[in-house]
Amino acid sequence: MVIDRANLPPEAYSDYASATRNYEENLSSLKLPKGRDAGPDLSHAARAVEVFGVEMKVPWLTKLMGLFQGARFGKVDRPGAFVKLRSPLFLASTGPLQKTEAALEKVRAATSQLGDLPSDLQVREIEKGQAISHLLEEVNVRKKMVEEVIGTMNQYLRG
Amino acid sequence: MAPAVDWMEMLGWTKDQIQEVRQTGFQFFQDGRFETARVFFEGLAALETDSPYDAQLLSAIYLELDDNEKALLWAERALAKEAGHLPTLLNRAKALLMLQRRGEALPLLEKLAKSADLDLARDAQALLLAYR
Repeated sequence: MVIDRANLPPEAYSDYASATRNYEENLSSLKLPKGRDAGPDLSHAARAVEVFGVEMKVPWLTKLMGLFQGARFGKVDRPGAFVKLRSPLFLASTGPLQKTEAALEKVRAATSQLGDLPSDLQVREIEKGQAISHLLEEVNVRKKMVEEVIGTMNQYLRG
Repeated sequence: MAPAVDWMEMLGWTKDQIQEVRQTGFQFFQDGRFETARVFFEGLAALETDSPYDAQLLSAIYLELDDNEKALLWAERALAKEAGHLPTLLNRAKALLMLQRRGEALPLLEKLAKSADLDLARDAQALLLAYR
């Protein structure tokens, strides 16, 4: 997603302009190599903001940029590096949550094999299976979006 | 009664993973994305962890979604796990008011209006002023 300034409401434009200014100032203070300070590309940040389900606000953008800059210098885990990103990044990067598609298959299979249970219990377990499936689908969608953002970020960081 | 299917074991999630999913769901709640938050917490509640938190939050989510029957249902489930949880008691009272059950809501609000939690007490007092 690329931010189209023409389609932004005035308040968003103000946020965008302010974030751009902050970003440029930060870039300048970090003395990035030539070529990197030609102009900020906010498309990855905007995409991330969309993925993480938040409104476009200056603190989010600046913090995201802080994280990108931190990653650029190998300091992603520095203190203050964007607590709210932790969970979505975790969803994409570690642990059994990565295996959402396999889990989804198991849950669907289990839900379809409840024939031996008494009908009231069967209904209850089917409802649970559906709620868990919906959760897994949602996690899976978010995970894929986060992976896409990380891919874009890595591409950007490699320059 | 033990569940017919051990969903937690099937997923292979630990408490850490549950906590990560919970935190992510809560972010959507905080951002006002109640429908997405609902999906997260319905799933978490179905996993039947011991935590009353998922039921507490589902009560709040359904209030935001104007589904007062479900808000009341989840408030009662949450209170069965943690009887004295004040925000959930307040949510229960709100759901009762929305369901035109003032006779049950007002005595509960009168108790909450005397709570040591001043913010919550003020909310209860405001509801009493509006509905008594």
